[in-house]
Amino acid sequence: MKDWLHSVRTLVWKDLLQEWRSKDMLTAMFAFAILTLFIFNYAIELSPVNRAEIASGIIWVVIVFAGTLGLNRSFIAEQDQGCFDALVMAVPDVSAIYFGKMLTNWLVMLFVSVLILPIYSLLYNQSLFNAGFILVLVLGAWCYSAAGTLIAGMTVQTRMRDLLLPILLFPILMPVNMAVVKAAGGILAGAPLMDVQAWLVFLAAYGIIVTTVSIMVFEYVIRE
Amino acid sequence: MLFVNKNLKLLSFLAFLLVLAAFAMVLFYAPIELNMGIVQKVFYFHVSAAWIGMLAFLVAAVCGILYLNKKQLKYDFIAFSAVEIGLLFTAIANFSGMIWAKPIWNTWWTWDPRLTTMTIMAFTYIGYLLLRRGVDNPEKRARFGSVYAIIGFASVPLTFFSSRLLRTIHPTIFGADTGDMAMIPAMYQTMAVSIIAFTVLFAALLWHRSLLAARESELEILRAQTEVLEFGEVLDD
Amino acid sequence: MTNLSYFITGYLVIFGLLGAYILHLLTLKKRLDREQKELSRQN
Repeated sequence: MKDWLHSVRTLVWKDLLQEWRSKDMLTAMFAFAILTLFIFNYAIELSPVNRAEIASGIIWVVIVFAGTLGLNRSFIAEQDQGCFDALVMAVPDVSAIYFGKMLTNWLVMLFVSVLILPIYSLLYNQSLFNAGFILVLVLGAWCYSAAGTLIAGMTVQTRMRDLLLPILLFPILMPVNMAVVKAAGGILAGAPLMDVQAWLVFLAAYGIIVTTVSIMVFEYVIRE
Repeated sequence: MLFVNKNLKLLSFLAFLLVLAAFAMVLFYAPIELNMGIVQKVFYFHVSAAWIGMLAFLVAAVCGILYLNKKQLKYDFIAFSAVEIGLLFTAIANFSGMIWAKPIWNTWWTWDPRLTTMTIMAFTYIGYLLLRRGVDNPEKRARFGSVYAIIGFASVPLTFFSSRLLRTIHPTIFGADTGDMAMIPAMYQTMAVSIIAFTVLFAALLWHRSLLAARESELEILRAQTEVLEFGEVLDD
Repeated sequence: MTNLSYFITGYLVIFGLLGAYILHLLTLKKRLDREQKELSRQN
C-alpha cells in the first residue's frame, strides 16, 4: 500500500512537472477555454436577466472541452515514446497508473477552472466564487477525469485517437453534465446547498462507481 | 466454436411464428384504447423493442466480463453481436415511440428520462462499434470492446436516475404511480406475448450474428495467412 | 395524418427496420461465403 501511494505520487509529480516545464497543454487549454467563452458570448446573447442560470452551463462546457484537450494529451507522451511498458513494470500495480493519471487530469482541470472563474467573473461582472459552486465543479471534474482517463487510455491506442475520445466519453458523461449544470445552476440562482443535495450525492456516487469500475478494468486497457 | 445448427433453424422458425402471433394479437385481440385510439397499439412492439434494447446491452456487458476472465473470443463475438442487435432494437423503440408520441403528445420528441436514456445508450454503443473499428488486433479489439461495454452499461442506470430527477410525462406502465394508462387483461396478454416473441427473436438473431462474426474472424485470420504466404512467394522470386 | 395512419406507419417502421437488418445479415453471409471460396481457391 505504501509502495502504491508512493508510485501514484511519483507519477502525478512526473506528469505535472513535465507539463509545467513545457506548458504546451496548459497554454492550449487556457486559450481554448477563453476562446470558447468568447464564442458563447456571441452565440448566446448573455443578457443580465438570464445570465445567472446560463453561467453554470457555459462554465461547465468550457471546462469539459478544455478537459478533453488535456485527456487526449495525457497518454500520448507515454504512447509515442514507448514508455508504457516501462511504466507498467515500474509500478507495484497497474491501478497506480490509472490513479496517477486520473489525479493529474483532475488537477489540470481544476487549474483551468481556477483561471477561468475570475476571468468569467470579470467579463460578466458576476462573482462565481461561491463555496457550493466550487464544490460542484470539483466533484464534476473528478467524475470527468475518472471516466475520461479510462477511455483516453483506450482511444490513444486506436487508429482514430483524439477523434474517438469525445464520441466515447460524452455519452457516458451525460449524467455528470446533467448533475453539474443543475446543481451549479441552482446554487448560482441562490438556492441553499440543501436544495441541490441530491445532485451532489449523485455526483459523488457516480465518481465512486466509475472510479471503482475503472480500477477493476484498467489493467486490461494497458496490459498486452 | 459456437454450437451449430439444427436447433438454430428451429429457433428462427419459432421466432418467426411468435412474432407473427404477437402481431395478430395486436391487430385482432388487443382492444382499441379509448383515449389514444388505435395508434396506442404501437405500444406493444415499442415496449418489447425497448426491453430487448436493454437486454442486449446487459448481454454485451456480461459477455465483456466473461471475455476478460476467460479470454475466449466467442464471448467477444456474442458481445459484439448483442450490441449491434441492441442498437437495431433501440432504433426500433425510439422511432416507433416517436410515431406514437406525435399524435398523443403532439410532439416527435420530449426530454423524457426513458427516451433520453435510450438515446444516450444508443450513442454509447455507436461509440462501441466505432472503437472496435479503430483497433486492428482482434485480441486488443475484444479487450477494449469488453471494457467499454462494461463501463457503458454501468453508466446506463446512472443516466436514467439523473434524468429521472428531472420531470417526466412518459406513461409509467410498470409500477405505475400515476396511472395514466390503465391496462386490462387482454392488453397484458398481448404485451406478454409480444415481449416473449421479441426475446426469442433476439436469441435467434444473436445466434445467427455471432456465427457470422466467428466466420468473419476466421476469414480475417485466413486472409492474413494468405497474404504472408504471397509475400513469401514474392521474396522467393 | 389520422390516428390509423400513425399506427400503420409505426408498424411499417418496426417491420421495415427488422427486415432491413435480416437482409443485411443475409448479404453479409453471402459475402462471407464468396470470400471463403476465393481464399480456399487461392490456397
